[in-house]
Amino acid sequence: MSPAIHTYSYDKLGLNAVYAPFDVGLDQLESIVEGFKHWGVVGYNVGIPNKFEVAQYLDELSPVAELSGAVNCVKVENGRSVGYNTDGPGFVSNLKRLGFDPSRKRVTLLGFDEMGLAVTMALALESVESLDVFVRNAFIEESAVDCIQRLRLQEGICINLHDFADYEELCDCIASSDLLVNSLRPGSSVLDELIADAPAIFSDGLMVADAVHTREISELVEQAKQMGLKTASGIESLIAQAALCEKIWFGVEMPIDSVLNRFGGVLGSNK
Amino acid sequence: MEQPTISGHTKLLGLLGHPVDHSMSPAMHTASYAHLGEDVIYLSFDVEPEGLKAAVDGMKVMGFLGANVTMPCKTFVLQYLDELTPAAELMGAVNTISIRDGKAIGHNTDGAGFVKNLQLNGVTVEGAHVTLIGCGGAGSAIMTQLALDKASKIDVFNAKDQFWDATLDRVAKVAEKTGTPIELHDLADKDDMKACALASTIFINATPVGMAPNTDGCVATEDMLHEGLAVGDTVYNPRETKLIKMAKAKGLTACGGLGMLLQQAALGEEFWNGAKMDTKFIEENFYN
Repeated sequence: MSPAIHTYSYDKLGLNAVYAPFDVGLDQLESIVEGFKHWGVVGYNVGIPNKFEVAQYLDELSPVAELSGAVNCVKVENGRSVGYNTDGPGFVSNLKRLGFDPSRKRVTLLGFDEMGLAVTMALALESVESLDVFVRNAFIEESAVDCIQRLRLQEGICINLHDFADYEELCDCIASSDLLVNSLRPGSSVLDELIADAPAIFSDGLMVADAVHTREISELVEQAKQMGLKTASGIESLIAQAALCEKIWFGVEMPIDSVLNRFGGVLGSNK
Repeated sequence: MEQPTISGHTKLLGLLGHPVDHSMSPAMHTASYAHLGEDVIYLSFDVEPEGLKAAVDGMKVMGFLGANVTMPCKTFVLQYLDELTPAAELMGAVNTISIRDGKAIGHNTDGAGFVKNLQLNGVTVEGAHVTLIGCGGAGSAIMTQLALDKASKIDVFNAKDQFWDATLDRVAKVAEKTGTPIELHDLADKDDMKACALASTIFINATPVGMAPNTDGCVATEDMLHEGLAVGDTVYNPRETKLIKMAKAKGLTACGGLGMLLQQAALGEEFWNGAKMDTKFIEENFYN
Protein backbone atom coordinates (compact mmCIF):
# COMPACT_ATOMS: atom_id res chain seq x y z
CA MET A 1 0.00 0.00 0.00
CA SER A 2 2.93 2.35 0.58
CA PRO A 3 3.56 3.18 -3.08
CA ALA A 4 -0.10 4.11 -3.56
CA ILE A 5 -0.18 6.21 -0.38
CA HIS A 6 2.97 8.16 -1.10
CA THR A 7 2.14 8.64 -4.77
CA TYR A 8 -1.28 10.04 -3.82
CA SER A 9 0.28 12.31 -1.22
CA TYR A 10 2.99 13.66 -3.53
CA ASP A 11 0.34 14.39 -6.12
CA LYS A 12 -1.76 16.30 -3.58
CA LEU A 13 1.31 18.24 -2.43
CA GLY A 14 2.44 18.98 -5.96
CA LEU A 15 5.72 17.31 -5.09
CA ASN A 16 7.86 16.23 -8.05
CA ALA A 17 8.70 12.84 -6.61
CA VAL A 18 8.08 9.16 -7.26
CA TYR A 19 7.84 6.22 -4.88
CA ALA A 20 8.61 2.80 -6.31
CA PRO A 21 8.89 -0.69 -4.77
CA PHE A 22 12.07 -2.77 -5.03
CA ASP A 23 12.21 -6.48 -4.21
CA VAL A 24 15.46 -6.73 -2.29
CA GLY A 25 16.77 -9.81 -0.49
CA LEU A 26 19.15 -9.81 2.48
CA ASP A 27 22.11 -10.66 0.24
CA GLN A 28 21.54 -7.58 -1.93
CA LEU A 29 20.97 -5.18 0.93
CA GLU A 30 24.50 -3.86 1.33
CA SER A 31 24.97 -3.03 -2.34
CA ILE A 32 21.54 -1.40 -2.62
CA VAL A 33 22.26 0.85 0.37
CA GLU A 34 25.59 1.84 -1.18
CA GLY A 35 24.00 2.36 -4.59
CA PHE A 36 21.19 4.56 -3.26
CA LYS A 37 23.82 6.93 -1.84
CA HIS A 38 25.08 7.70 -5.33
CA TRP A 39 21.91 7.81 -7.44
CA GLY A 40 20.30 10.96 -6.02
CA VAL A 41 17.62 9.00 -4.17
CA VAL A 42 16.09 11.11 -1.38
CA GLY A 43 15.31 8.16 0.81
CA TYR A 44 13.58 4.82 1.04
CA ASN A 45 11.50 2.54 3.22
CA VAL A 46 12.73 -0.83 4.43
CA GLY A 47 10.40 -3.75 5.03
CA ILE A 48 10.69 -7.12 6.71
CA PRO A 49 13.05 -8.97 6.78
CA ASN A 50 15.48 -6.18 5.99
CA LYS A 51 14.48 -3.85 8.85
CA PHE A 52 16.85 -5.47 11.33
CA GLU A 53 19.71 -6.07 8.91
CA VAL A 54 19.94 -2.70 7.22
CA ALA A 55 21.18 -0.71 10.25
CA GLN A 56 24.74 -2.00 9.97
CA TYR A 57 25.11 -0.55 6.44
CA LEU A 58 23.96 2.96 7.35
CA ASP A 59 26.10 5.92 8.41
CA GLU A 60 23.92 7.10 11.27
CA LEU A 61 20.88 6.00 13.26
CA SER A 62 18.26 8.06 15.06
CA PRO A 63 18.05 7.41 18.83
CA VAL A 64 14.92 5.28 18.41
CA ALA A 65 16.36 3.24 15.52
CA GLU A 66 19.52 2.65 17.52
CA LEU A 67 17.61 1.36 20.54
CA SER A 68 15.31 -1.01 18.67
CA GLY A 69 17.82 -2.09 16.06
CA ALA A 70 15.07 -1.80 13.46
CA VAL A 71 15.11 0.74 10.63
CA ASN A 72 12.10 1.20 8.35
CA CYS A 73 12.95 4.62 6.92
CA VAL A 74 16.24 5.90 5.51
CA LYS A 75 17.10 9.43 4.45
CA VAL A 76 19.96 9.98 2.01
CA GLU A 77 21.67 13.35 2.27
CA ASN A 78 25.13 14.52 1.16
CA GLY A 79 26.19 10.96 0.45
CA ARG A 80 25.19 9.74 3.91
CA SER A 81 22.38 7.36 4.89
CA VAL A 82 20.57 8.05 8.14
CA GLY A 83 18.21 5.40 9.52
CA TYR A 84 14.97 6.10 11.37
CA ASN A 85 12.11 4.08 12.76
CA THR A 86 8.71 5.57 12.05
CA ASP A 87 6.60 2.46 12.74
CA GLY A 88 6.23 3.09 16.46
CA PRO A 89 6.08 6.89 16.26
CA GLY A 90 3.50 6.58 13.48
CA PHE A 91 1.30 4.42 15.67
CA VAL A 92 1.55 6.95 18.51
CA SER A 93 1.01 9.99 16.32
CA ASN A 94 -2.20 8.39 15.04
CA LEU A 95 -3.41 7.87 18.62
CA LYS A 96 -2.73 11.54 19.37
CA ARG A 97 -4.52 12.62 16.20
CA LEU A 98 -7.53 10.72 17.52
CA GLY A 99 -7.32 12.58 20.82
CA PHE A 100 -5.51 9.96 22.93
CA ASP A 101 -2.26 10.90 24.70
CA PRO A 102 -0.41 7.77 25.91
CA SER A 103 1.57 9.60 28.65
CA ARG A 104 0.74 8.30 32.12
CA LYS A 105 -1.78 5.83 30.69
CA ARG A 106 -2.11 2.11 31.41
CA VAL A 107 -1.68 -0.02 28.30
CA THR A 108 -2.18 -3.70 27.46
CA LEU A 109 -0.53 -5.07 24.33
CA LEU A 110 -1.52 -8.34 22.66
CA GLY A 111 1.16 -10.13 20.68
CA PHE A 112 4.68 -9.11 19.78
CA ASP A 113 5.29 -10.10 16.14
CA GLU A 114 6.03 -7.43 13.54
CA MET A 115 4.92 -4.25 15.24
CA GLY A 116 5.25 -5.42 18.86
CA LEU A 117 8.68 -4.00 19.64
CA ALA A 118 8.09 -0.81 17.69
CA VAL A 119 4.84 -0.12 19.52
CA THR A 120 6.33 -1.06 22.90
CA MET A 121 9.21 1.35 22.38
CA ALA A 122 7.07 4.16 21.08
CA LEU A 123 4.68 3.88 24.04
CA ALA A 124 7.60 3.63 26.48
CA LEU A 125 9.04 6.81 24.99
CA GLU A 126 5.78 8.56 25.80
CA SER A 127 6.29 7.45 29.42
CA VAL A 128 3.18 5.35 29.77
CA GLU A 129 2.23 4.52 33.35
CA SER A 130 2.47 0.80 32.64
CA LEU A 131 2.62 -1.55 29.69
CA ASP A 132 1.49 -5.16 30.09
CA VAL A 133 2.54 -7.27 27.12
CA PHE A 134 0.87 -10.64 26.53
CA VAL A 135 2.60 -13.17 24.29
CA ARG A 136 2.55 -16.89 23.60
CA ASN A 137 4.67 -18.92 26.03
CA ALA A 138 5.89 -15.61 27.47
CA PHE A 139 8.42 -15.53 24.66
CA ILE A 140 9.92 -12.58 22.86
CA GLU A 141 13.11 -12.35 20.82
CA GLU A 142 16.35 -11.86 22.73
CA SER A 143 17.15 -8.66 20.89
CA ALA A 144 13.81 -7.29 22.07
CA VAL A 145 14.54 -8.39 25.65
CA ASP A 146 17.68 -6.23 25.77
CA CYS A 147 15.83 -3.22 24.46
CA ILE A 148 12.96 -3.69 26.90
CA GLN A 149 15.33 -4.27 29.85
CA ARG A 150 17.00 -0.95 29.13
CA LEU A 151 13.63 0.78 29.17
CA ARG A 152 12.66 -1.00 32.39
CA LEU A 153 15.85 -0.78 34.43
CA GLN A 154 17.51 2.38 33.21
CA GLU A 155 14.58 4.54 32.17
CA GLY A 156 12.39 3.16 34.95
CA ILE A 157 9.41 2.44 32.69
CA CYS A 158 6.99 -0.21 33.96
CA ILE A 159 6.84 -2.98 31.34
CA ASN A 160 5.57 -6.42 32.32
CA LEU A 161 5.60 -9.56 30.23
CA HIS A 162 2.81 -12.14 30.54
CA ASP A 163 1.63 -15.35 28.93
CA PHE A 164 -1.65 -15.62 27.03
CA ALA A 165 -2.31 -18.73 29.10
CA ASP A 166 -2.98 -16.40 32.06
CA TYR A 167 -6.37 -15.49 30.65
CA GLU A 168 -7.68 -14.14 33.97
CA GLU A 169 -4.66 -11.90 34.29
CA LEU A 170 -5.22 -10.73 30.71
CA CYS A 171 -8.80 -9.80 31.55
CA ASP A 172 -7.71 -8.00 34.73
CA CYS A 173 -5.10 -5.99 32.84
CA ILE A 174 -7.56 -4.99 30.12
CA ALA A 175 -10.22 -4.09 32.68
CA SER A 176 -7.84 -1.60 34.30
CA SER A 177 -6.29 -0.30 31.04
CA ASP A 178 -6.81 2.95 29.18
CA LEU A 179 -5.54 1.48 25.89
CA LEU A 180 -5.65 -2.01 24.40
CA VAL A 181 -3.32 -2.61 21.46
CA ASN A 182 -3.77 -5.59 19.17
CA SER A 183 -0.62 -6.79 17.44
CA LEU A 184 -1.91 -10.32 16.78
CA ARG A 185 -2.53 -11.89 13.41
CA PRO A 186 -6.17 -12.41 12.53
CA GLY A 187 -7.67 -15.77 13.42
CA SER A 188 -5.97 -16.04 16.81
CA SER A 189 -8.11 -18.05 19.22
CA VAL A 190 -7.35 -15.76 22.13
CA LEU A 191 -9.01 -12.94 20.19
CA ASP A 192 -12.19 -14.97 19.86
CA GLU A 193 -12.35 -15.43 23.64
CA LEU A 194 -11.66 -11.75 24.27
CA ILE A 195 -14.31 -10.63 21.82
CA ALA A 196 -16.85 -12.78 23.62
CA ASP A 197 -15.81 -11.35 27.00
CA ALA A 198 -15.42 -7.78 25.76
CA PRO A 199 -18.69 -6.41 27.14
CA ALA A 200 -17.57 -7.49 30.60
CA ILE A 201 -13.97 -6.34 30.54
CA PHE A 202 -13.82 -3.35 28.18
CA SER A 203 -14.41 -0.28 30.30
CA ASP A 204 -16.22 2.78 28.93
CA GLY A 205 -13.06 4.81 28.56
CA LEU A 206 -11.02 2.10 26.87
CA MET A 207 -9.43 2.81 23.49
CA VAL A 208 -8.74 -0.21 21.27
CA ALA A 209 -6.12 0.00 18.53
CA ASP A 210 -4.83 -2.29 15.80
CA ALA A 211 -1.07 -2.08 15.41
CA VAL A 212 -0.43 -4.17 12.29
CA HIS A 213 -0.60 -2.29 8.98
CA THR A 214 -3.49 -4.10 7.30
CA ARG A 215 -6.33 -2.74 5.28
CA GLU A 216 -9.01 -4.56 7.26
CA ILE A 217 -9.75 -3.75 10.86
CA SER A 218 -9.59 -6.64 13.29
CA GLU A 219 -12.69 -8.19 14.81
CA LEU A 220 -11.47 -6.93 18.17
CA VAL A 221 -11.55 -3.32 16.98
CA GLU A 222 -14.86 -3.99 15.26
CA GLN A 223 -16.26 -5.24 18.58
CA ALA A 224 -14.96 -2.13 20.34
CA LYS A 225 -16.55 0.09 17.69
CA GLN A 226 -19.88 -1.64 18.23
CA MET A 227 -19.56 -0.93 21.93
CA GLY A 228 -19.11 2.77 21.10
CA LEU A 229 -15.47 2.85 22.23
CA LYS A 230 -12.66 4.90 20.69
CA THR A 231 -10.67 2.88 18.15
CA ALA A 232 -7.64 3.21 15.87
CA SER A 233 -7.00 1.13 12.75
CA GLY A 234 -3.88 -0.34 11.19
CA ILE A 235 -4.32 1.60 7.95
CA GLU A 236 -4.45 4.88 9.90
CA SER A 237 -1.22 3.86 11.63
CA LEU A 238 0.38 3.07 8.29
CA ILE A 239 -0.63 6.46 6.89
CA ALA A 240 0.67 8.25 10.00
CA GLN A 241 3.94 6.35 9.63
CA ALA A 242 4.11 7.38 5.95
CA ALA A 243 3.51 11.01 6.93
CA LEU A 244 6.48 10.90 9.31
CA CYS A 245 8.63 9.48 6.51
CA GLU A 246 7.64 12.30 4.15
CA LYS A 247 8.51 14.81 6.89
CA ILE A 248 11.94 13.21 7.20
CA TRP A 249 12.58 12.99 3.45
CA PHE A 250 11.09 16.25 2.19
CA GLY A 251 10.21 18.30 5.27
CA VAL A 252 6.58 18.31 4.07
CA GLU A 253 3.31 17.85 5.95
CA MET A 254 1.31 15.08 4.33
CA PRO A 255 -2.36 16.05 3.87
CA ILE A 256 -3.38 13.26 6.24
CA ASP A 257 -7.12 13.83 6.08
CA SER A 258 -7.07 13.60 2.29
CA VAL A 259 -5.03 10.44 2.38
CA LEU A 260 -7.24 8.91 5.07
CA ASN A 261 -10.31 9.74 3.02
CA ARG A 262 -8.83 8.08 -0.02
CA PHE A 263 -7.51 4.97 1.77
CA GLY A 264 -10.18 4.35 4.37
CA GLY A 265 -9.28 5.78 7.73
CA VAL A 266 -11.31 7.74 10.26
CA LEU A 267 -11.02 11.52 10.15
CA GLY A 268 -10.36 13.54 13.28
CA SER A 269 -11.56 12.40 16.67
CA ASN A 270 -14.01 9.54 16.73
CA LYS A 271 -16.76 9.96 19.30
CA MET B 1 8.60 30.65 51.88
CA GLU B 2 11.14 33.04 50.38
CA GLN B 3 10.52 34.25 46.83
CA PRO B 4 13.13 33.51 44.17
CA THR B 5 15.03 36.59 43.00
CA ILE B 6 15.25 37.12 39.24
CA SER B 7 18.15 39.25 38.11
CA GLY B 8 20.73 39.43 35.37
CA HIS B 9 22.71 36.87 37.33
CA THR B 10 20.02 34.23 37.82
CA LYS B 11 21.17 30.76 36.81
CA LEU B 12 18.89 28.18 35.28
CA LEU B 13 18.40 24.49 36.05
CA GLY B 14 16.15 22.34 33.87
CA LEU B 15 14.19 19.09 33.96
CA LEU B 16 14.48 17.27 30.64
CA GLY B 17 12.03 14.50 29.78
CA HIS B 18 8.56 13.75 28.47
CA PRO B 19 6.12 14.40 30.01
CA VAL B 20 7.37 16.85 32.63
CA ASP B 21 4.34 19.06 33.18
CA HIS B 22 3.30 17.42 36.45
CA SER B 23 6.73 17.46 38.04
CA MET B 24 7.21 18.91 41.52
CA SER B 25 10.93 19.47 40.92
CA PRO B 26 10.66 23.04 39.56
CA ALA B 27 8.75 24.29 42.59
CA MET B 28 10.84 22.31 45.03
CA HIS B 29 14.33 23.17 43.79
CA THR B 30 13.44 26.81 43.10
CA ALA B 31 12.09 27.12 46.66
CA SER B 32 15.15 25.36 48.01
CA TYR B 33 17.57 27.75 46.35
CA ALA B 34 15.48 30.77 47.34
CA HIS B 35 15.56 29.51 50.94
CA LEU B 36 19.35 29.26 50.68
CA GLY B 37 19.47 32.79 49.28
CA GLU B 38 20.95 31.58 46.00
CA ASP B 39 20.08 33.08 42.62
CA VAL B 40 19.00 29.84 40.89
CA ILE B 41 15.66 28.80 39.39
CA TYR B 42 14.52 25.46 37.99
CA LEU B 43 12.08 24.90 35.11
CA SER B 44 10.56 21.97 33.19
CA PHE B 45 11.46 21.45 29.53
CA ASP B 46 9.49 18.87 27.54
CA VAL B 47 12.21 17.19 25.48
CA GLU B 48 12.07 13.85 23.67
CA PRO B 49 15.10 11.71 22.77
CA GLU B 50 15.38 13.27 19.29
CA GLY B 51 15.75 16.72 20.84
CA LEU B 52 18.39 15.85 23.42
CA LYS B 53 21.45 16.81 21.41
CA ALA B 54 20.09 20.29 20.79
CA ALA B 55 18.98 20.58 24.42
CA VAL B 56 22.38 19.64 25.85
CA ASP B 57 24.23 21.86 23.36
CA GLY B 58 21.79 24.66 24.16
CA MET B 59 22.34 24.32 27.91
CA LYS B 60 26.08 24.60 27.39
CA VAL B 61 25.88 27.60 25.12
CA MET B 62 23.31 29.36 27.30
CA GLY B 63 25.22 28.76 30.51
CA PHE B 64 22.71 26.62 32.36
CA LEU B 65 23.87 25.45 35.78
CA GLY B 66 22.65 21.94 35.05
CA ALA B 67 19.63 19.71 34.73
CA ASN B 68 17.78 16.62 35.84
CA VAL B 69 16.90 14.04 33.23
CA THR B 70 13.85 11.82 33.58
CA MET B 71 12.09 9.23 31.41
CA PRO B 72 12.37 8.49 28.64
CA CYS B 73 15.65 10.35 28.13
CA LYS B 74 17.98 8.94 30.77
CA THR B 75 19.79 6.47 28.54
CA PHE B 76 19.62 8.45 25.31
CA VAL B 77 21.31 11.51 26.84
CA LEU B 78 24.63 9.78 27.60
CA GLN B 79 26.01 10.06 24.09
CA TYR B 80 25.67 13.86 24.13
CA LEU B 81 27.60 14.44 27.35
CA ASP B 82 31.31 15.19 27.73
CA GLU B 83 31.98 13.19 30.88
CA LEU B 84 30.27 10.60 33.08
CA THR B 85 30.73 9.91 36.79
CA PRO B 86 31.37 6.27 37.77
CA ALA B 87 27.73 5.85 38.84
CA ALA B 88 26.40 7.17 35.52
CA GLU B 89 28.83 5.03 33.53
CA LEU B 90 28.00 1.87 35.42
CA MET B 91 24.24 2.42 35.36
CA GLY B 92 24.26 3.43 31.71
CA ALA B 93 21.77 6.15 32.61
CA VAL B 94 21.99 9.79 33.68
CA ASN B 95 19.47 11.61 35.86
CA THR B 96 21.59 14.68 36.74
CA ILE B 97 23.75 16.91 34.54
CA SER B 98 26.14 19.60 35.70
CA ILE B 99 27.50 22.18 33.26
CA ARG B 100 31.04 23.18 34.28
CA ASP B 101 33.40 25.25 32.13
CA GLY B 102 31.23 24.60 29.10
CA LYS B 103 31.27 20.83 29.61
CA ALA B 104 28.28 18.63 30.41
CA ILE B 105 28.97 16.07 33.11
CA GLY B 106 26.49 13.29 33.64
CA HIS B 107 25.74 11.71 37.00
CA ASN B 108 23.20 9.29 38.43
CA THR B 109 21.71 9.74 41.91
CA ASP B 110 18.90 7.19 41.58
CA GLY B 111 20.67 4.82 43.97
CA ALA B 112 22.78 7.39 45.82
CA GLY B 113 19.85 9.16 47.47
CA PHE B 114 18.67 5.93 49.06
CA VAL B 115 22.12 4.91 50.24
CA LYS B 116 22.93 8.40 51.58
CA ASN B 117 19.72 8.32 53.59
CA LEU B 118 20.75 5.01 55.18
CA GLN B 119 24.13 6.48 56.10
CA LEU B 120 22.58 9.62 57.60
CA ASN B 121 20.53 7.32 59.80
CA GLY B 122 23.66 5.73 61.18
CA VAL B 123 23.75 2.68 58.91
CA THR B 124 27.20 1.55 57.77
CA VAL B 125 27.22 0.55 54.11
CA GLU B 126 30.92 -0.06 53.53
CA GLY B 127 31.66 -3.69 54.33
CA ALA B 128 27.98 -4.47 54.88
CA HIS B 129 26.20 -7.61 53.73
CA VAL B 130 22.96 -6.45 52.09
CA THR B 131 19.77 -8.30 51.14
CA LEU B 132 18.01 -6.34 48.39
CA ILE B 133 14.51 -7.26 47.23
CA GLY B 134 13.77 -6.17 43.67
CA CYS B 135 16.07 -5.53 40.73
CA GLY B 136 13.86 -3.26 38.64
CA GLY B 137 14.55 0.43 38.01
CA ALA B 138 15.00 1.40 41.67
CA GLY B 139 16.55 -1.88 42.75
CA SER B 140 19.23 -2.05 40.10
CA ALA B 141 20.22 1.57 40.80
CA ILE B 142 20.49 0.86 44.53
CA MET B 143 22.41 -2.35 43.86
CA THR B 144 24.90 -0.44 41.71
CA GLN B 145 25.34 2.31 44.29
CA LEU B 146 25.81 -0.18 47.14
CA ALA B 147 28.50 -1.91 45.10
CA LEU B 148 30.20 1.42 44.34
CA ASP B 149 30.05 2.24 48.06
CA LYS B 150 31.86 -1.02 48.82
CA ALA B 151 29.23 -3.22 50.41
CA SER B 152 30.90 -6.57 51.13
CA LYS B 153 28.15 -8.73 49.58
CA ILE B 154 24.76 -8.11 47.98
CA ASP B 155 22.06 -10.79 47.68
CA VAL B 156 19.46 -9.53 45.23
CA PHE B 157 16.03 -11.13 44.92
CA ASN B 158 13.96 -10.78 41.77
CA ALA B 159 11.02 -12.53 40.12
CA LYS B 160 12.22 -15.32 37.82
CA ASP B 161 10.54 -13.85 34.76
CA GLN B 162 11.50 -13.62 31.10
CA PHE B 163 14.02 -10.93 31.94
CA TRP B 164 15.91 -13.20 34.37
CA ASP B 165 18.85 -13.89 32.04
CA ALA B 166 19.20 -10.23 31.16
CA THR B 167 19.07 -9.39 34.88
CA LEU B 168 21.77 -12.01 35.56
CA ASP B 169 23.95 -10.33 32.94
CA ARG B 170 23.43 -6.93 34.52
CA VAL B 171 24.25 -8.24 38.00
CA ALA B 172 27.39 -9.93 36.70
CA LYS B 173 28.51 -6.76 34.95
CA VAL B 174 28.13 -4.60 38.07
CA ALA B 175 29.84 -7.22 40.24
CA GLU B 176 32.75 -7.45 37.85
CA LYS B 177 33.21 -3.70 37.44
CA THR B 178 33.09 -3.00 41.19
CA GLY B 179 34.65 -6.15 42.59
CA THR B 180 31.65 -6.61 44.91
CA PRO B 181 30.17 -10.13 45.06
CA ILE B 182 26.52 -9.92 43.96
CA GLU B 183 24.23 -12.91 43.70
CA LEU B 184 20.78 -13.05 42.11
CA HIS B 185 18.10 -15.16 43.79
CA ASP B 186 14.54 -16.19 42.99
CA LEU B 187 12.07 -13.95 44.80
CA ALA B 188 9.76 -16.93 45.28
CA ASP B 189 12.25 -18.75 47.51
CA LYS B 190 11.32 -17.39 50.93
CA ASP B 191 13.61 -19.79 52.80
CA ASP B 192 16.53 -18.48 50.77
CA MET B 193 15.42 -14.91 51.49
CA LYS B 194 15.27 -15.62 55.21
CA ALA B 195 18.74 -17.19 55.19
CA CYS B 196 20.17 -14.15 53.41
CA ALA B 197 18.35 -11.69 55.68
CA LEU B 198 19.65 -13.41 58.79
CA ALA B 199 23.21 -13.14 57.47
CA SER B 200 22.76 -9.45 56.52
CA THR B 201 23.07 -6.13 58.33
CA ILE B 202 20.88 -4.28 55.82
CA PHE B 203 17.53 -5.37 54.29
CA ILE B 204 16.00 -3.26 51.51
CA ASN B 205 12.66 -3.43 49.70
CA ALA B 206 12.93 -1.99 46.20
CA THR B 207 9.64 -3.36 44.90
CA PRO B 208 6.21 -1.66 44.90
CA VAL B 209 4.97 -4.15 47.52
CA GLY B 210 3.48 -2.22 50.41
CA MET B 211 2.60 0.80 48.27
CA ALA B 212 -0.88 2.30 48.62
CA PRO B 213 -3.55 1.09 48.11
CA ASN B 214 -2.13 -2.38 48.86
CA THR B 215 -0.65 -1.39 52.21
CA ASP B 216 -0.98 -4.89 53.69
CA GLY B 217 1.76 -6.17 51.43
CA CYS B 218 5.23 -6.85 52.76
CA VAL B 219 8.15 -8.69 51.15
CA ALA B 220 9.59 -9.75 54.52
CA THR B 221 8.28 -11.93 57.32
CA GLU B 222 8.90 -10.97 60.94
CA ASP B 223 11.43 -13.72 61.49
CA MET B 224 13.70 -12.14 58.87
CA LEU B 225 14.00 -8.90 60.85
CA HIS B 226 16.65 -9.89 63.38
CA GLU B 227 18.51 -7.75 65.88
CA GLY B 228 21.24 -5.68 64.27
CA LEU B 229 19.41 -5.45 60.93
CA ALA B 230 18.77 -2.03 59.42
CA VAL B 231 15.73 -1.88 57.16
CA GLY B 232 15.10 0.38 54.16
CA ASP B 233 12.06 0.79 51.90
CA THR B 234 11.86 2.69 48.60
CA VAL B 235 8.09 3.08 48.98
CA TYR B 236 7.11 6.55 50.29
CA ASN B 237 3.36 6.23 50.09
CA PRO B 238 2.37 5.48 52.78
CA ARG B 239 5.13 7.20 54.74
CA GLU B 240 5.42 4.12 56.92
CA THR B 241 4.90 0.87 55.05
CA LYS B 242 4.10 -2.40 56.79
CA LEU B 243 7.78 -3.31 56.48
CA ILE B 244 8.93 -0.11 58.17
CA LYS B 245 6.33 -0.47 60.92
CA MET B 246 7.41 -4.06 61.57
CA ALA B 247 11.06 -3.03 61.76
CA LYS B 248 10.36 -0.12 64.11
CA ALA B 249 8.26 -2.34 66.36
CA LYS B 250 11.35 -4.49 66.82
CA GLY B 251 13.50 -1.47 67.64
CA LEU B 252 15.46 -1.66 64.39
CA THR B 253 16.71 1.33 62.36
CA ALA B 254 14.08 1.80 59.64
CA CYS B 255 14.31 4.23 56.68
CA GLY B 256 11.30 4.86 54.45
CA GLY B 257 11.21 6.11 50.88
CA LEU B 258 10.70 9.77 51.69
CA GLY B 259 14.25 10.06 52.98
CA MET B 260 15.47 8.64 49.67
CA LEU B 261 13.58 11.33 47.72
CA LEU B 262 14.87 14.15 49.89
CA GLN B 263 18.47 12.98 49.75
CA GLN B 264 18.26 12.51 45.99
CA ALA B 265 17.19 16.13 45.61
CA ALA B 266 19.92 17.25 48.03
CA LEU B 267 22.59 15.34 46.12
CA GLY B 268 21.44 17.05 42.92
CA GLU B 269 21.90 20.51 44.40
CA GLU B 270 25.28 19.50 45.77
CA PHE B 271 26.34 18.22 42.33
CA TRP B 272 25.19 21.37 40.54
CA ASN B 273 26.88 23.97 42.73
CA GLY B 274 27.81 22.54 46.09
CA ALA B 275 24.60 23.84 47.68
CA LYS B 276 23.56 22.26 50.97
CA MET B 277 19.80 21.77 50.69
CA ASP B 278 17.74 22.17 53.88
CA THR B 279 15.92 18.83 53.76
CA LYS B 280 13.70 19.63 56.75
CA PHE B 281 12.47 22.79 55.01
CA ILE B 282 11.73 20.83 51.83
CA GLU B 283 10.01 18.02 53.72
CA GLU B 284 7.75 20.48 55.56
CA ASN B 285 6.81 22.47 52.48
CA PHE B 286 6.56 19.78 49.81
CA TYR B 287 5.97 16.43 51.43
CA ASN B 288 3.35 17.05 54.09
